[in-house]
Amino acid sequence: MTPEAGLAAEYADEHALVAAIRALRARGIGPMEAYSPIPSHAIDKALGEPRSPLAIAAGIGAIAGAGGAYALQWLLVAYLYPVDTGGRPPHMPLPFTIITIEMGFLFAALATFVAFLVASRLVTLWHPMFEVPGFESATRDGWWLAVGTVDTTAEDVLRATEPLHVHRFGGWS
Amino acid sequence: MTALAQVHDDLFERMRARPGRHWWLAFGACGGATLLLFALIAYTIATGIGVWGTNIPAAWAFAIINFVFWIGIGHAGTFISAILYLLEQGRWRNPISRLTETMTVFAVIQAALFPVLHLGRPWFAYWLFPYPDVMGVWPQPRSALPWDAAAVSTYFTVSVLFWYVGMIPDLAALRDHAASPRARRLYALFAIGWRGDSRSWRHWKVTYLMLASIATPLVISVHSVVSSDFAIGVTPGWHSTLQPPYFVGGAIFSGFAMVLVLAIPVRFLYRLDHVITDHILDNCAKLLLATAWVVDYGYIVEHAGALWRGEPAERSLMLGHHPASVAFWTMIACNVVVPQVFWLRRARRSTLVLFVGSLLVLLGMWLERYVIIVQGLLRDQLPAAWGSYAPTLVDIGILAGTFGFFGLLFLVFLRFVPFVPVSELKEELA
Repeated sequence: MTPEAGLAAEYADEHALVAAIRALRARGIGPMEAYSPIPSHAIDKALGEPRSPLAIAAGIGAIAGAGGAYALQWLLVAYLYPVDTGGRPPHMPLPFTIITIEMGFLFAALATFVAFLVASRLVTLWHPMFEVPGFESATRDGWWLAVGTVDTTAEDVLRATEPLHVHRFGGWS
Repeated sequence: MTALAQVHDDLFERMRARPGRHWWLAFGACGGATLLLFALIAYTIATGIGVWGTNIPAAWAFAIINFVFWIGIGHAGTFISAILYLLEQGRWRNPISRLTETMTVFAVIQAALFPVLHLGRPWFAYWLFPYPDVMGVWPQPRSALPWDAAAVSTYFTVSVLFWYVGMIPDLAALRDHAASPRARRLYALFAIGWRGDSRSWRHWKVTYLMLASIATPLVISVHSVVSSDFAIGVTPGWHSTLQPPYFVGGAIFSGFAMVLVLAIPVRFLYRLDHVITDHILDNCAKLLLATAWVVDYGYIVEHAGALWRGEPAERSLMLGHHPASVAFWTMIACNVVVPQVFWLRRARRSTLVLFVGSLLVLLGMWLERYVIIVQGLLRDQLPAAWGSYAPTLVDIGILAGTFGFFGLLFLVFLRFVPFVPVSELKEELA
């Protein structure tokens, strides 16, 4: 769960951020989300995030695209409008294969892309984190943590992890 | 300042430098050629393709030569960005991957113009796609043209997605560090709200990997499908199972030449010698040499095949007098002789030799398509149907115009989009 409001803290580097996530998780504080300029396995592990299941979307897209393309070719040229060219059968699996394979690739890619946008909650042009002062460093060299609570114990634990600075954001700013 | 910030500031500062005199000169030249292209396209559509040199028997001439040429250019881009990514060659792949992906997208745009214009009635191009129509007649997948439509539109779509997904984190960086509010709003639109949260990064990594895996077979399949347009015909010099590997090898060969033609000036103009290093150019030259041998092997098999198959039309075309002998021997010089210079380390390390050599390879590969397409059509099995072919000024103008249009798109891209994948270089640092 990505917090929409709560406390945001910036850390000097990846190690400090990972240590902070571990400390907060040990106290059962959450929900949490980390923001980083580059992808990081250490952060994913500390947050306990499962592997992204997007490969499944690609598989479904590929099967649907390829199956649909073959069925459509059969429907259009073998069933609805069969043409006799030099005695060749209207249903010819070999030439049908080419468009079938291409559409498998195409729909696998489209399905992956759409699943990526949905799973990452993208095409959200505004987010409460954008209002946090200094948050633009997240795309340069800043390591940020957002915690979905303003509870004083949580804030104390967060401040004990030695962040560079802490801000309230979202509904609590 | 952290190492990440150093890389970030250095690259963005260089990429956002105001364009110099070179850029404006190139922009003017390419802009002029683009206007010429659009004027000639308008003239062709208004008058009909009789203004081209295309005739019977040479019904496939400049349009299809240029189509195959430009589609081929794109292949090295996908090879570098997708195949080298899967092979974990990041150290020499990452700095040039965005440039080459861009090259792919813009080259496919040029390629797509030609089959559509060659239709003669381009306003009916959508007939190639199976849409619910009232005519009751649909595209015929037992013929090669719908294969091309499927292969090229898939290639273009996947290339654009791969290009864009890779760019999202860099667009977000431009949004966050934009100089003016207007630029920030514009980049914010294209960055679609990227925040760099761990959830997005996890999905982004898998998406990028999946798109690379999907693009990889496309490198092989697209030009194989294009070559099947030839291989399934009985025209001399076309009807051979050699075509798919020969075309794919040639495509990657010409594409690497175009990569060098683009990367060398970019490296010079934006002072990126420490990013696009000599080592990277050296590797590109090695791959140019390797793919040159794939193409050269194709030439050998093509001619040996004519000898052992014993088909008279093919034998007289391949082993007798070539109707396009000047083009043929120039092609041999450019594609067989010139690349051999890259056996020498000194040649691979000299940007001038690389640049000139690559231009010659591009010329050679364009001529190869000219030789394959025009010669076979002019000398088919029935001597009574033999003919001759010469391009018109409109043909030449359209070809020159696509180079201008390609250059124009590329220059605009250099100006407004992060052409070095900064986030990937930062990741490498970590």
